[in-house]
Formats: sequence, C-alpha cells, structure tokens
Amino acid sequence: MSIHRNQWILAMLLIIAPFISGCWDYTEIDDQIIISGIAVDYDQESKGITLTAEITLPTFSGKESNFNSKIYQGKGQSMLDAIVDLASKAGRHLLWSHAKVLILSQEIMAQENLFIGVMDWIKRTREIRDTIWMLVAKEIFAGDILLKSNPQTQKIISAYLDGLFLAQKSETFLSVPFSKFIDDLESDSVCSALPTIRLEDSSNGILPLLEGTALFYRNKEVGWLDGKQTRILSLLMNHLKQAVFAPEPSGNQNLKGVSLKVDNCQTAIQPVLGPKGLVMKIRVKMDAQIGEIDGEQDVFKPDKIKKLIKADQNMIKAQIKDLLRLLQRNYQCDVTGFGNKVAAKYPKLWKEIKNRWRNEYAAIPADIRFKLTIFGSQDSMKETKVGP
Amino acid sequence: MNNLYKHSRKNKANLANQPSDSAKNALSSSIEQNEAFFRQLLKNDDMVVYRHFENQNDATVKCCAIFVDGMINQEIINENIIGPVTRTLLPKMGLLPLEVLQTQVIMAHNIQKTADLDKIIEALNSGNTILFLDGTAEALIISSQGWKSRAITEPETEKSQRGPKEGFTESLMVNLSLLRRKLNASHQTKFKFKVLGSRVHTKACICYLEELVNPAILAELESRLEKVQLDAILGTNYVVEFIKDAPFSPFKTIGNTERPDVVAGKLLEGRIALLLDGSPVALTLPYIFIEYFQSNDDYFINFFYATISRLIRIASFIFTISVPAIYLALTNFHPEILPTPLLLSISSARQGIAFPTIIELLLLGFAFEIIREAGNRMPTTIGQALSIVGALILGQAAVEARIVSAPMVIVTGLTAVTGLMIPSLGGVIIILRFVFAILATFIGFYGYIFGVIGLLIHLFEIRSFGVPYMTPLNTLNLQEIKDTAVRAPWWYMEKRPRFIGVMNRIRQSPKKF
Repeated sequence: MSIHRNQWILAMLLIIAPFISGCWDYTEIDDQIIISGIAVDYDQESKGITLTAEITLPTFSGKESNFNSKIYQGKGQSMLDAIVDLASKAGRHLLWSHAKVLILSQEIMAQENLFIGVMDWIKRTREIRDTIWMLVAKEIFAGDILLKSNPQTQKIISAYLDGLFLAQKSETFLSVPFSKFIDDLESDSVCSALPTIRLEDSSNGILPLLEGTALFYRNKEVGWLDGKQTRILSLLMNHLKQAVFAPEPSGNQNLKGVSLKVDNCQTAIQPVLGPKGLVMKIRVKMDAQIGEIDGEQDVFKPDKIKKLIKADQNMIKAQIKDLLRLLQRNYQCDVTGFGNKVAAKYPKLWKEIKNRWRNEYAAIPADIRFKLTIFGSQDSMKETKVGP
Repeated sequence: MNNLYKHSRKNKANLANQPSDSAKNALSSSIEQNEAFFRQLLKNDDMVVYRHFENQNDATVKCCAIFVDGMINQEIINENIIGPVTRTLLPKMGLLPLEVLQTQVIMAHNIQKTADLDKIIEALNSGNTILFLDGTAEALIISSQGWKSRAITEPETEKSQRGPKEGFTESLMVNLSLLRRKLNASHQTKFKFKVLGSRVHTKACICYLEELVNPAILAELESRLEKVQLDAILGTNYVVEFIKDAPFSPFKTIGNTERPDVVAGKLLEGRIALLLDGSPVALTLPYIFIEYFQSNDDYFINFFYATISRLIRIASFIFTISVPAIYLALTNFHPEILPTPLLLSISSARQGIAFPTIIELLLLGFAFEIIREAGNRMPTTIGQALSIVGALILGQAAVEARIVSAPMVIVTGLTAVTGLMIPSLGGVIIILRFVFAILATFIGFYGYIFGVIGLLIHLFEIRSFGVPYMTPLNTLNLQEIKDTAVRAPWWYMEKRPRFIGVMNRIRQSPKKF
C-alpha cells in the first residue's frame, strides 16, 4: 500500500508540469476589447490603409449592464500595420472573434495589392470567423458607415447589420459571408457579388441603408444592381425564399393591383451541350400567394386567375431575361456560378474555354422555363369589397 | 515531567502483566474470595453491583450476582434470578451443584456455565449477570440485557417516499431481525458472526444468500477481515478503510446504507452485507460506480420516473464537477465559442472585479464549503442565522460590492445545488471540481479534457472485490444494463448482474408473460 519513491516523484512532476509549462494565454474576458465590426478604406495621402473599428464597450452600473459603441481608427501601410496602430490607441488586447461585419470601400477594392492583403489577413488570422459578413460602401468612405450612421433600433451598428443579414427579411440585398466571397474570388470564373451599403439622411438622423449588389471581376467593380435586380439575382442563385412581386405601373393590365407573396422558390441552372454549343437551362418553380389586391376585383374567378398567372409568369420571366442580358452582355460577370457547373459537367470543354470564359459566357443562350403556382382561392379568403 | 512519563510507562508495564494474573483458574470456590477478586479487578468501576443473597430454607446456598447497573433488565434479575434462588425449596444434597440452578431454578432463556475469566468479563460488559455459588469455582452467565436502544425510525439521510420507513438502529440483533424478516422464505439466508477488534470486541455479522453469493468474493471478504488488527472498531468506516480495494481513491468501493430493504435487495443480487454492532450503517459489497446514482425509491415508483431521476442524478454529477472548469475555459481561453450576447453580458458583469476568474471561483467555492460544513455541524436553532449570512456571502451583496461577478455566483450556485443531489459523492465532487478547475485555468479545454480522461482511466482501473468498478459499461449485453442508468420494469429484469450473481443468474423464469 505504500507509495514508492519514484511514484512520488512522478506525481510531483505531473503536478508541477502545468504550473511551469502551462499555456499562459490566460486572458480575462474584461481585459479584452470586443471588436464588433471593421471598415477598411484606402488612404490617399499615405497610400495605405485606414482601419475603422467599432468596439462594443460593456459597462456595469449598479444593477444594469450597458453596451455602448465606440469607434477607433488606425492607419498603416498594411492591414497589420494599421492594427498595431489601432491596438495602441485602444489600449487593451483586441478580441477579433466576435467581429460581425467587414465593410470595404470601393477605393480599397480598386487597389489590387492592398485588397488581396486584406483578404489574406482575414484568412490568416485564426481569430476572425469565416462567417464575417462582407459589404461594400457605395461611393462613400467606408469608415463613415460606422462613424456617422445611427440606426434607431440598435446602439451598435455592427450588431444591427448582423441582425439584418441573419434575418434577411428584405430581398433587396445578398448575404455574403467571407467564406463564400473568398470561394468565388479563388474560383475559375473569378466573379463575385457583394451587398452595398450607403448612408441615407432622414429626419431621425443618418441611417445605414443596405440595398443593391456590386459585381466584381477579380477586384474590379464591373457593375451594380439595384434592389429589384438583386431580387432576381437572388432567385437565379436559388437563394430567394420569400419575396414580394408588386405590379409595375406600366405593366400588363391583368396584373393591375395584385401583389404576389412568394412562399417558396426553387431554381435549377444546368449547362446543356447541344448541337449549337452550350445552352443555359434555367428551371424555376415558384409557389406564391396573393398578398394584396388593390381595388375591387374578382381575382379568383378561374379565367381571371389563369390570366393573372400567365401575366405574372411573363413579367418575372422578362425580368430574368433582362438581368441575364445585363450580366452576360454588359458586365460579362458570371456571379451565378455557371462556369463552375460547366466545369463539373463538361471538364474537357471547360479546359478549352476556361481562359476566354468571360467572352464565352456573354454569348450563351438561355432556355428559361418558369412555373408559377398560386395557392389560396376565393373560399379561403374572399376579396375585400367596400359595401354598396 | 520526566518522572510522570516514567511512571506512566511503569503503569503500562503493569498493565501488560495483568493477563498473567487473570489466569484460567483465577476463580475460587468461595464467593467472598471471588467478590474480592472482582472488586480488585474492576476497581474504580462503580457501575458494577455485587448482590449477595441466600436460600430461605437452606442458608448454605449462598450466591453472589455481579452485574453492571444500567445495562441489565432489573425485572429479570429480581423475578427470574434472585426470586427463584431465594424461594425455591431445594433438595438437601450436600453441596448444591451449579447445574441444578442452571436447569431447575433460574428462569432465563440463555444460561452458560464457565470458569473462563475473559468470557466472564466480556459477558459482564455486555449486560449479562454473573452468578457465583458458594462452594463452586465456576460461574453462570445469565442473559439479562436490558439497556435502552433507539427506536426504529426512518434514516435521515435516506428518506423514501413510497418505500418502507424503517431503518437500522445501533443494536445488531435488532438490525438482523429486520433483515431476517425480509428474507423469511429462504433457508439459504446466512448470518455469520465474527468478532472484530483486539481490545474492544465488536460483534460483526456477514449476511448473504448462499445460493446466490459468489463464494470467491465471500472468501476474499473473510480473509480481508482476518487481517484487521485494530484495537477498536467503533463504526463501519473503520472496517471500510481496512478492506476497501483502492485505499487512496476517493471513490468508495464498499457501499453503505441504513435501510434494511436496500440491504435485502442487494443480498438478492448476490451481494454480501456486513453489519456491525453499535453502528446503524450496513456495508454492502461489491459496490460498483452506478450504485451511487441508484436510490432505494427507484424501485418503489414508476420505472419511467425512476429512469428520469437516475439520468438527472448522473447529469448533476457531470455538471457539478464540470461547470466551473468549462466556465473558466470558455471565458479565459475560448471566448469565441460563446454567443456574442453572452460574451457581452459576462464581460459587463466582470467590469470592475479585482480578482481573476479562478480566484473568484476558489473564493466562492470555499465560502460555500464553509457554509455547508457549518450547516452540518451546527445546532438547528441557529440555522437561520447561517442562511442569512450565507446569502450575503454568496449573493447579491457580494456582487454589488464588486468582489465577485454575477455569472460566477450562478456557476457556484449551480454546482452547489447539483452537488447536493448525491450526498454520498460529496468528497469526490469537491476534489474533482477543484482539480478540473485548476487544469482548465492552465490550459483551457485541453486541461479539462485531460482531467476527464484521467478520471475515466482511474474509474475503469479500480475494482471492488474483483468486480470491475464501471461494470455495466464494459458490456453491450442488454440484460446487464437493465438496472443501471435506466431502471427497466421488474417483469423485464430476468437475470441478475453477471459479475455478482454469478452462481444463479435467473431472477424469474423468462417468458412468463
């Protein structure tokens, strides 16, 4: 039963080992500065980077916890240089793992070396999550989004934007995490899309407005889509789950005053190699309800509803065609990832056309089929009529 | 001082010589000499009463009864010993043989004739009456015990909602009677007495069912008991520390209970029980880890509910040893795992706290242990004061004074409540919680995981009387796990545990229904 001397020594060594060789990166949570969002700008004067960081500063007074937003700025020749500057101003260890948004300015994206540097830094820093949302500030200084905007519902701008992206109730922008963006950037087609943000003056102060999509070929911005076009892009990318299609004022008479609420939408894009070359086969299946009827109309009569479906199909199909024309002819930007599908299905063909993919893409004809089903009938919900 | 020391050593030497004085034939045939001898032997012991009496009709029949006041039943001595001896018309036959008294006069259920002094002294101290007859160099040991013992009540620590409400007392015979009544139908129930302790003799009883018990385990227990050479065994834990398998392990490998129904249940699974006189706690063995989480009530209530209760107990054990370590690892090493709102909330709660998290944890944990220990030791009348002061230390006041943070109070509270769920694991829990927390402080989750691996290695390594401690976990046999972390309905438990009930595994004939 007695413990041998060697066993004592072994036990002592085991006890001492963690004390002398333990990994001492023990950091108290309140000794760290929690960064919730960053904006990266190009600094014209120094030809370097201006880094704006939003910090959530928790305070405790009496029985209440408060979270305030603080903005710090750092400048440097590279991202790391700017962070060193920022850290010396903030004064404490920076915690990057809870950063939610990364806002890039259009100028920094135009500077290829710096832009790649920023992307590389994010990839290399293990602390930053791959789920950080990417944004482009449209025509303004990216730092101003954090500095000037004042969303009324949230004190912390990054948390406000994070909430928007997570909920994605609005279909006028895409949610692009860093992992998706870097995948697109490193893929053969090198086309990517990022949501754009700008500031809007209102009587309640300056609001951040998230709308539209910027399209990139490598780091060059090749085009911009507005909110409605973004909705169709999202449909093509099979991301659209909920959306509203309101009638256009100048549109078809059958559509007048009837808005559609989309419940479910499935899109499949397949490359098909026919006798005349590649064809883009697009199949869309959409389930919708009638969301709103303006004016007194008998929408649910069988012939009426048939006409309505047809008109809606034509309208959305036309919108898809318009967007495709824009993407193929004007921007030559394959953001829907069609190239990857060709590469997967026809690897030999892809090897041939890979290098001139932008030109090839512009000329591919599209075969679109669109099927719309409208749920709900007169029985379930009668039209609203004002009494006689 | 030196003199005193020498003196005491001399005395010791004297004491050592005493047995030679009390040689076998120390008794004489004269009751005066016997009395003088006992008065000398038991001097300074005023509890001993020497009562002389003689027969009304024959004054030559002189007797002396020696007994210890307070341990005897006065009625037995008056009515059944002194009464008959003084009143009976004895035949004139010269020297009256002791046997006549034993067989014809004294009315007691147990009388023994002896000349062995050691036996006499032990009998005297156990509440028997020693009767000397003038002219005989032998004595009668007459059973006349009559001390007060505690009533049979429900044990405080093992309450039951639906089960029987009786518990063991300090009297071995009462305890054995409780047990015997439960196992009445079998002639196989064995009660084997043993005497433990070299200076103070304590009666022990090994109980088992002969057709179920594993003879190897029984033999092992007996051989281990042989080796116990302590001078006095005052409680069951004295024995446990001598005979348990892993003497340095905080885990117990011998079970204990105060409930006869629990002991009966364990005997019926092929286990062995060891009861000691003077202790209301019975030992059961072998004891495996899962028994910590089994409660007597599990068998008296619905099996679904019993299963849920057991799972909650296991989860509580895991919680109580892990929560502080995980909290430390999360907040100090891996804050990225926390959801952002939780991180912010913890961060704001820690603003202005002077101590590092580990110090906070140790402070609060220590404070809780103090309060718990004080609660155990304190008279109930001032218990209220304790709870008020305890709430100040472990509560809002400490948080508002910024000595500890609110999440830490919650962590300590959670560990405390879950830790109280299995009282018998108390010591283990304190040690594991502390070790895991220290490991997590040094190397975060790695440390915690190392700790858990170490714990599992230890648990799988130890055995209780040859039975692996983690027994049901080393098999995939469905029958084996029916009464472990879950409790299957009784009609489904057809066999006894494999390692323990090795002799006769059939509990009920299968496919009866």
